[in-house]
Amino acid sequence: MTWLGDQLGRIAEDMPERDLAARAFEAHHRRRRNVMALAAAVVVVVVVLAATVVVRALPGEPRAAVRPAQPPERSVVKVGVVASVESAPVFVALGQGYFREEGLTVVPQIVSGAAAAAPELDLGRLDLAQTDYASLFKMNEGGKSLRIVSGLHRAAPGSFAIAVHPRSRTRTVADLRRKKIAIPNLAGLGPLALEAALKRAGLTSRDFLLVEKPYPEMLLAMDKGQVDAALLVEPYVTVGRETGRARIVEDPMTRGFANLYTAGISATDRWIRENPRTLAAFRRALTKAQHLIATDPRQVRDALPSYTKITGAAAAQAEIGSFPAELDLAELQRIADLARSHRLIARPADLGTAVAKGG
Amino acid sequence: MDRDTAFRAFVDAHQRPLTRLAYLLTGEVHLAEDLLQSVFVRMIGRWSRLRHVGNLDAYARKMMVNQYISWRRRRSSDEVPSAEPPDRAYVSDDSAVLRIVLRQALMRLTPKQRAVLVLRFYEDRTEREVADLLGCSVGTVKSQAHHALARLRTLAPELGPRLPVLDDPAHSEGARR
Repeated sequence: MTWLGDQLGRIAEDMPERDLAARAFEAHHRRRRNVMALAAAVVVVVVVLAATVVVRALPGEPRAAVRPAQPPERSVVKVGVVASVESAPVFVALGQGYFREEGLTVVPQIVSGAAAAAPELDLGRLDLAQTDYASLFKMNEGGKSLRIVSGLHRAAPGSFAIAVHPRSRTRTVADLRRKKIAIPNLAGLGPLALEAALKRAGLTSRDFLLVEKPYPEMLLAMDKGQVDAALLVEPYVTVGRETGRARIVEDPMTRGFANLYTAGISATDRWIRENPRTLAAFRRALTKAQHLIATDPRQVRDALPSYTKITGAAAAQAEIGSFPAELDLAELQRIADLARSHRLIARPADLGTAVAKGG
Repeated sequence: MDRDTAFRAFVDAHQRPLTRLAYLLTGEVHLAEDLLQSVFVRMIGRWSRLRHVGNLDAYARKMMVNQYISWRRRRSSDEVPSAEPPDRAYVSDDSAVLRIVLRQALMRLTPKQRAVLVLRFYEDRTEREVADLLGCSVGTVKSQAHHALARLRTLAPELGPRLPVLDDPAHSEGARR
């Protein structure tokens, strides 16, 4: 083979393999449905117009024509999600076919956190992304224009944990002095809660080292001794405990941080303006899943093994928290205040613009 | 369902080379997936008529290449030339660097030139086969390949010594009619 052919082959190797057959089938069916829907809409319009003519001819009130519903602007929606219990509603909605009912093919892509997803949103590689609210406030203060379009998760006691390897000599948070602690992203709600817990124990931010690791890799990193401790989230708290790979030192989400709204879905201002119908369809499906979870929490435990590498047994014991469909502005204000008092952000967060209309 | 299983089998067997071809044509993962998906969707739509097509792989390839060329023609306004070509102050034999240079230069060719180069040198097809896939004459393939290589040499002189040398189509065209 020639040098050129060889190099082209190497470039082609960068292309990831993904099964496109299922997506193609869905797009095909959706296209056929759209054709049918369009035909149906035409019939409706014709009938309504005919009826209007008849009604007009008769004495009486004229009627308004029915406007056919328009399909979403985009059919494929790429959503960045963190592989934790927080993103469960997205996977429950997928499993139940709620997105498909709305004419959307939702493609979840695992990200390590809000800071990692934000550039992908800017570049249009992701349409929507999971975020914690503190990260969003910080990024907006730094000049981004991200909006909260939907809530996802609210923590319960035990949803998060500061954990160490079982053989570690660390017993209390104060023992973490000069230790390496794994967190998903350097700035955000997780590190905020972690640092608050460490400061309560008398440590300053110079007394420990934070290392970025995606949640699914934290237990392994502790096994290998790459880090001394980790800020875990469910289901990894339960997995770590059950498999003897982690010992819990403290729950960071207590006191001022108790029961916080930990995750929502964000989009750029521009994407929201360009895709109002897609967003509305996505929200309807997600809300439906959140209502289903509220009545049947087992849905979350069933969905967890599909996107995290955990077993059904561990999923059954995980502390899943709750998945409120509605945002609570007072709770968002609480997070904004925490972020400000811990110096993550310098100015009061602008909640009015941070929440997209209808969210 | 019969059609679905048959289509799935086709995808399983041919997806890999087709995705790679799409990637080399578009230079971008998502565009490549979109391109391939649009080909797949059209194939599902007319699957019953495709039963008589002997070589489905070539059929898909042909559809993809032509769709891509007409796509880019329609959307030529959003063609984004990748950032500045890298600084030429250094002489490098590092193959990774050369590959990046090649990649950037490739994206600055016209879609048709790129298609010809990829089919001819990556898929290692004869000029005749390339002409059949693109639905043009062998002469066009020759001249497109010639121009594409010439353009690569101007865009990235350091690639020059490694690029294949073709007969000048002006001389050879008459010979092979």
